[in-house]
Amino acid sequence: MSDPINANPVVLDVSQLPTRSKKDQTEADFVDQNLVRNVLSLSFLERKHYEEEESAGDSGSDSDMQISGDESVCVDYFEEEEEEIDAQEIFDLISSISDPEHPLTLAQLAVVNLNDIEVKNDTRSKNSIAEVLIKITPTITHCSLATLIGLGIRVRLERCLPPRYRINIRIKENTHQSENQINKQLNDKERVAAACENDQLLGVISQMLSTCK
Amino acid sequence: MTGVGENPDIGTLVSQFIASGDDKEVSKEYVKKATGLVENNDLTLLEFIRGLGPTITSESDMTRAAGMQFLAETLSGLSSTRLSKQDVNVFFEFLLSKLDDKSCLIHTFHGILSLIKSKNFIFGMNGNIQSILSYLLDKYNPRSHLAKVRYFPFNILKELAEKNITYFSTASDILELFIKTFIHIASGEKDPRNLMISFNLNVAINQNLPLTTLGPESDALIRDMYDVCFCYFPISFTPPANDPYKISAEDLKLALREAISCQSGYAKDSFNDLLEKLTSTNPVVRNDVLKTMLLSVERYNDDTILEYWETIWNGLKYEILHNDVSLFKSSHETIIPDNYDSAIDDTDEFKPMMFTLSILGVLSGRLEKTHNLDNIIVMITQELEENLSKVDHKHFKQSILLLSVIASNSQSAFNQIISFLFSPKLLGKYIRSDITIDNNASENEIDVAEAYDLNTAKKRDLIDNLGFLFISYKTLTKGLDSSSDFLFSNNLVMYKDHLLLFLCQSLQTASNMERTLKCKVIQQFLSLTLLPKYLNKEENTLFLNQVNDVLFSVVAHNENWNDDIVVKEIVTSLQKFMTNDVNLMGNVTMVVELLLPGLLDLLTPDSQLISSPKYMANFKKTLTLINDLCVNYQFLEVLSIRILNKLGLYSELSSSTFDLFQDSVALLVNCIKKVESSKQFLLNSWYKSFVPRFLNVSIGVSDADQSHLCGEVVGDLLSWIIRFSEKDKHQNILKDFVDLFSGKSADGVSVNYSLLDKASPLISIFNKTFASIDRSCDFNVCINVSPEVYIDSITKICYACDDEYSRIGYLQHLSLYINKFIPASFDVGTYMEKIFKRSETLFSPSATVSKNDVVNFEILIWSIKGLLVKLDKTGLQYFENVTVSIGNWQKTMRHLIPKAFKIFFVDLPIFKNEPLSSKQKVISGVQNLNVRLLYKQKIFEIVVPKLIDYYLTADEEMKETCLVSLSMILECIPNAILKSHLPDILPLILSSLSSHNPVILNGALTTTELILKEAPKLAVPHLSTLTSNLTNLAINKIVVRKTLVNTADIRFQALKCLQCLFDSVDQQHTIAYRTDVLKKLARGLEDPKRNVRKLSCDIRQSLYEMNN
Repeated sequence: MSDPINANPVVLDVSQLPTRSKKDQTEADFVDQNLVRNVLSLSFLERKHYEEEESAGDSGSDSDMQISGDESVCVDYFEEEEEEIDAQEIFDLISSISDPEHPLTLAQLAVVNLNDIEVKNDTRSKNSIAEVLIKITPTITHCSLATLIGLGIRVRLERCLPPRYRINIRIKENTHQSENQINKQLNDKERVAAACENDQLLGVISQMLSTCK
Repeated sequence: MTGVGENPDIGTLVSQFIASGDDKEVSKEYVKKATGLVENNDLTLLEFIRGLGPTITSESDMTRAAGMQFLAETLSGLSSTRLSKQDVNVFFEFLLSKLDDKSCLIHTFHGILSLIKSKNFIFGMNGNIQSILSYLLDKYNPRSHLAKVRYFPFNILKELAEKNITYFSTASDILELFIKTFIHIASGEKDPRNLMISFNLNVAINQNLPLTTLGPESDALIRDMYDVCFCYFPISFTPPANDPYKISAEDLKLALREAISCQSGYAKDSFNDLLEKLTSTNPVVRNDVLKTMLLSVERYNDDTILEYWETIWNGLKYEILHNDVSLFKSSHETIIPDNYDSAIDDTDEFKPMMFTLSILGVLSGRLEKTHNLDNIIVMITQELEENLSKVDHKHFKQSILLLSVIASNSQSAFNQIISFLFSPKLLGKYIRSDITIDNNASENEIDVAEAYDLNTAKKRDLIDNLGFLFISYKTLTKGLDSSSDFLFSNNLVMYKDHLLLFLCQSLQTASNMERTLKCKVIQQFLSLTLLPKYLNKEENTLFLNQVNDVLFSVVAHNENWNDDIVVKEIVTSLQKFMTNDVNLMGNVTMVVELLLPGLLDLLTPDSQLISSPKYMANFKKTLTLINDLCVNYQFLEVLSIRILNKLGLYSELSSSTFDLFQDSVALLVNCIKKVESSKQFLLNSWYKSFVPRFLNVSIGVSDADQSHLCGEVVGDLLSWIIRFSEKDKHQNILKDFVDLFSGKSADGVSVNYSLLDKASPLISIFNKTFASIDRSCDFNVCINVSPEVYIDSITKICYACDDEYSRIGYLQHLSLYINKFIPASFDVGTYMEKIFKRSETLFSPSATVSKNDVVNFEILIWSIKGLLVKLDKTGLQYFENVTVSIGNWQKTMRHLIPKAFKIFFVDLPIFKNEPLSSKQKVISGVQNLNVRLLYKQKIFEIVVPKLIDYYLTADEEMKETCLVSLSMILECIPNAILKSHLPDILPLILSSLSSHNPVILNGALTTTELILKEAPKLAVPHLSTLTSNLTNLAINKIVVRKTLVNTADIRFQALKCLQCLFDSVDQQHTIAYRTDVLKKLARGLEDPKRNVRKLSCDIRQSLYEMNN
């Protein structure tokens, strides 16, 4: 295969973009499953309010209460089901960033693709380092704005992902003439930090992020 | 001043008038007096003139002018019959003689105008017309006068034209003089008020006067008249701020447009001039040009149109050919939207295309009348032939559009264009099956193959574009009588078989991947079925069979077939197919016979598959599809019987099919609701034909279903059927259901036991049916026992019943009975007193509460509820008795009171009708509810202030009870009621936010959001508390007694409040919290729930942007 050249980029329709699969959502119900629960909620006998005096103090008692912000405090309560951060979630975060030169989003231009996003996350502990790897596909092999797009994605993700995530943004193999150079630039902390201090650049990035949904 | 009643000296009045100077109010008074005197003959005209004499002959310009003004204004104030012919004549002569006096010209004009308006002004008397016109033409120079002076000559001409325009057609010299005068005064005019008159005069002259009688002179005059109007085009005007004349730019535009289009003789210049202006890039100008052209094409005479059609065509065709026409869609009802002129703004750059097509359409209609259209079409088609030879030609769609519009106004043009397009050289080679590829053609073989064979994209475009021709046909045949010859013999009918074959082949040969092609074929096939008299029954059947095949092949091959665009296209097509006026009944029958059975087969229970989730998913998808297809009563009628048959099957299977049962019943409920909402109909016949069989299959299932959902939907369905049965039938229906309720068999259906003997969950079905019965029906006739005994038997069951669901059912039944069925003779007061006494122990400080006490209290609360919804006095009294005693609440009441509030405020199906989308009255005339609209508001306003007062003084434990009660109330109160109470509730809400009771938090957060949206200013003093409480709820894990307080819902709601806070509260107040919240919310990014993380991101993003 020769290099893909997208001087006249193919634009995907928004409805063609990958979305979280319908299977995750429950089928629309014909019958409101809460009907009976609503009726039952009207019962006075629902909790045993009668005969036995309630033993313990009231629910407001502070000795039972714990507020925790981190995981080290281990308490036995109903644990919520965890919804992992996955590639689709990352895609949803960055897909609606605007392209700096077209009035279209990165996903519509296929600059970011769901298949090119990889999340490495140790599900057992929330303290360990996790990593997100994103490969972007410039619309043309000499796209001068590839670094800017990469930087936009980085800023968006740094704002939207927990700090333990390491963000790695690369140009997809064989899609850009100066692939290595850009990769270095995008993942060099110092250079990213310096770029973010440039007000004009930050203005452009804000513009790109303003369409984020 | 002269006193009333005296005859004032006219000279004095004039002097006073002059002295009053610029004070118009005062000077008017004097004129009024003079007018009065003359009008009533208190002063003869001679005396009047004599009195005025010295002033109007004065040496001083100012005095003379004032005198003339006095004269002119007095004349204009006189009634139109006051002056005799002779008087008018004398005054006229006098005023003519004064025209040379420049200092009072405006008043002289005014005087002349008043005389012309007089009834006794005789046209031509003593050459009056000639004199004034000649003066205006020869001696009056408009350019040397102000706009207010110029206004009068315009008015004089206007008045002459309005009063007796035929006078000017009597002799050619006077006609010529009139026109020349008009041209003279109109040249160089700039004032909008004068221009309006100028344009209107232009129209009046051209429409009413025989210009041709002027011979060779006429051309020059017409040309000049054209010049005095077209030189303003395109007119633009911005009224000044204190616009005294109320003339808008639009008025001027319209008047000018009328002027340009009023004279066919203008065509010589107008079309070319307009087309030249069309080169403008400003869409407002372009639209103005095209609107004017449209009007001209409509108004100019036939010969003119024939003479200039080519100019118009050549000038306009590129507007379409060289433009992006993607906004014209063949799936629309019309090519050009009906109301485009009013719906689309003139600044829209696509609007010119709509006008262009309109003009061409009107043009073809006009040309048909000249009997020259055939030749013209030949020329046009020759011109477009090249564009149409290949589907992928860049002007293909444009050319089809042009031809479709031209064809839609003339039957012969339509036929001619169709046979042109379907010729073998053009579309015929693709569509017609009687044309085979000629392999011996001299062209290159590959080219030939390519030319005849369409790839998917081309085929799609071709079919899509055919749609424009169908629209054209529809427009053309709209007003035609159904027996009109054209409907049976036109060229589209001639190619019908080819078209059908082509469409069917395209549909069959398209692979499963080519969804858009299939959609287009279905779309256009549908269009054919909707053309009047076009397809016969067999051909419509063919359409349905094709659709049927496609539908079921998608169902078979695509797991998520409900989301497949082809299926969606099929659904919308069938909806149109069944609701269009063309053969509605026949079409519904066809769908019911051909398509529905296959769908119902998908619903057939298969004991092997039932337990698989895939079967259930498919089942629900099928129901959704059927629901979408149910667009009218005819369909619903058949559907109900077919579904009823299925219900019988489901009820015989094991309990795992309860889901199938309840979904199918819910489908019917949805369909009834949908159809009744769009067009109401009576369900009388259903009561006989459907209900008995339905009850037979559903009673057993509802009784056995542990989830009770079957019973709920069965009740819903019955209540719809009853509500839409005629009011007269209700007493009998009530009797039937009471019999059934008490264990007797009715219509062959029975419950086997009396619901008064044994607690049963079936009570919920009966509650819903009784709730739908008209409130005038007599329940007590049916039960044969006294109300006291009846209430007693129900309460007995409430005490004895162990099943919560059933017990609440019986309590609701009690409530409903008290609400609408107790006889007038029943003493509510005594009854309430009795049951209130039973619960009194609960209010004593040292009470221990037994289960019976609680049930007693429940009975009290539900009885109050029944009375409260109709705002019964006794009910309100006991409502206050229960709530007034807030101060006496004991610890034991803590859990009961909030729930009581919930019962008072909650909407129950037995007290509320499911709303129809339109706010019509129910067709059956049934009034089933005995509920006052504003009852919630009333009891809310009684109880909430008390709760707030009590909260401020109560101890900690009771404070919590207050908050829970409030939350329960807030849950059930519409925002509209709540809005006016927000400031009062705010303190309670703020303290609720630090509570650790999820119920309280839930209510508090919902209300906080409302406060932030509706009255953000209230929140400003509390921003610090709000932000810290909300972020705390959003990011921390709050665990009390080993349960999580801030569940995902509460975290999400807290974040929504935060978002609202930063959105709606003024930034100068919130900016201080930005950094802190931004930092803290970083922890929300790690939340286990995705929607919470997403909302945290969004808030942070907007906070980042806040500074910019």
